[in-house]
Amino acid sequence: MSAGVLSRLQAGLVALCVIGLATSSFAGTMTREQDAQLAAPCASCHRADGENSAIPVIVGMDEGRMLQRMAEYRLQTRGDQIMHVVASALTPVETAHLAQYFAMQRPMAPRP
Amino acid sequence: MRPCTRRGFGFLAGATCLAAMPRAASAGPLPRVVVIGGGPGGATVARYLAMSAKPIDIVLVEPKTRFTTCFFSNLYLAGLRSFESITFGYEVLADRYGVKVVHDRATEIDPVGRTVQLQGGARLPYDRLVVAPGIAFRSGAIAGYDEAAAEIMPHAWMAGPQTELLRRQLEAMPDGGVFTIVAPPEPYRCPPGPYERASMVAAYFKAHKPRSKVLILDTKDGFFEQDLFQESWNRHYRGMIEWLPNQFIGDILAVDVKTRTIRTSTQVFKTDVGNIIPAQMAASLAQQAGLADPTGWCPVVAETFESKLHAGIHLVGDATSPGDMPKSAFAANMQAKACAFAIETALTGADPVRPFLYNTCYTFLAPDDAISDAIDFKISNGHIGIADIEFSRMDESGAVRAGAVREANAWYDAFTQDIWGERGRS
Repeated sequence: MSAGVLSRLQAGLVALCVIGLATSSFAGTMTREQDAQLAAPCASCHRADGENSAIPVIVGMDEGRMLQRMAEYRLQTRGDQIMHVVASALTPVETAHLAQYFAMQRPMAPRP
Repeated sequence: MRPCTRRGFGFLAGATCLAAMPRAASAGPLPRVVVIGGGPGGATVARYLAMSAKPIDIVLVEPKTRFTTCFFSNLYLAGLRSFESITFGYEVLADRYGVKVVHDRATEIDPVGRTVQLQGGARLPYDRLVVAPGIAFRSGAIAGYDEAAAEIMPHAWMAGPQTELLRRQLEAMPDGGVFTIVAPPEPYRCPPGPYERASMVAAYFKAHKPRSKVLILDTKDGFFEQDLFQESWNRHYRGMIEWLPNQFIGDILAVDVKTRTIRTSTQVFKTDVGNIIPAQMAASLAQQAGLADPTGWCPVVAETFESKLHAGIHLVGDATSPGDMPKSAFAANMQAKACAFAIETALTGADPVRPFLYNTCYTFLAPDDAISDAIDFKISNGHIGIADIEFSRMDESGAVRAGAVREANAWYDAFTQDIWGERGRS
């Protein structure tokens, strides 16, 4: 088994653990308001209107997919220095809340 | 259109108006926040306060009706972007977010009576004040360089007419000419900015005036991401960019705009186009209001960006001394969110999360070559310090760098939308 496959598996395991956390009682410890504050820094790079660009759309992203991606960035099995710093700065509970939050969001209306 | 700004009905923006409550529906007078300055710091504070769960009366004071971003203005200088594409208005903040935008200049702050005096005569009372005034140049830092001189040898470090003037001068310069940048001492707005400007002007020369040169006269002996810049200068612009550090040329003493010369303590340099970026400090309103300390910058409480010198007044952006955070639009935008949430907590009793402070920076080395860096900041014992930092690497492929160019352009659209609520026109 190659190191790449192994680290992808590790990332998957970490993601699964985080999903477990997210569905446990931890998820209830933050209000919707706090979730929105937690998500605010993401909007500095990820477009709120959901339009496709060179930076991925995270509004409405599947929760499991986001957890998987964040684990990959943290473990550097997916290369991106900016997202490595961001993913590493978040606690597992914060990451779980973000994944839940964005999965429920819909794009901001386009400019009038 | 009725303001539609309650958070929780859409991604941060609550743009689905159907669910939004009109502000007037709440009982009693609303708490009022006055924000001075409509740049990346001030406009972000206004927009995020407008999205708070409980209604807040927000007044944004900004003299300009259109704001041109310093970030990406070097791309305009290179001819890679239009001026319009880096310029934004306040219509969306006013119409969609219900921010009261006042195009006037704040001339005086009364921190005891909690009012702001405007040049046009109005006096605005506030419960909380946010001051995001940007920078001023230190007068007398370079002899002979004043406002009149800046009309001949522009600084172009506050984007707008100065940036357009510098572009016209570059266009008018004959092939074989010299463009000279005087790079400022720390701390200053946008650490990689002077060197990105050198790169972008060299890109313009390479395409249109290949016998021309870029000369950087530096007040320092080193600069941010120096190895990445110098490696790329060798690769893209061999022999076109010369960097002279302070240890070679001595201090920058004076400029003479009539003879287009720059005098240092050891030499005199003659130039065709001169771009003088002087030493900086917090803008004059912050100095007058007693918000700056003897360093010339404004000390702030790390978690809330409240002034350490006047209670009830917050500061964000380049005018502050926020620990290890750089003076960048991205840092200002991050500080603005932390500040808006702290004010929301103070005024409405909302429970805050911990502040998140990052910096991300995209820097253009050539039209198809960009680099980036990312920093995570953590607050410890009241100090904002660097917890983690990553840079682009020297050995990256052309494909990776071209990918960073596409990412940078996508970032600009997202970032300006996050500040002014509208997208640029590229």
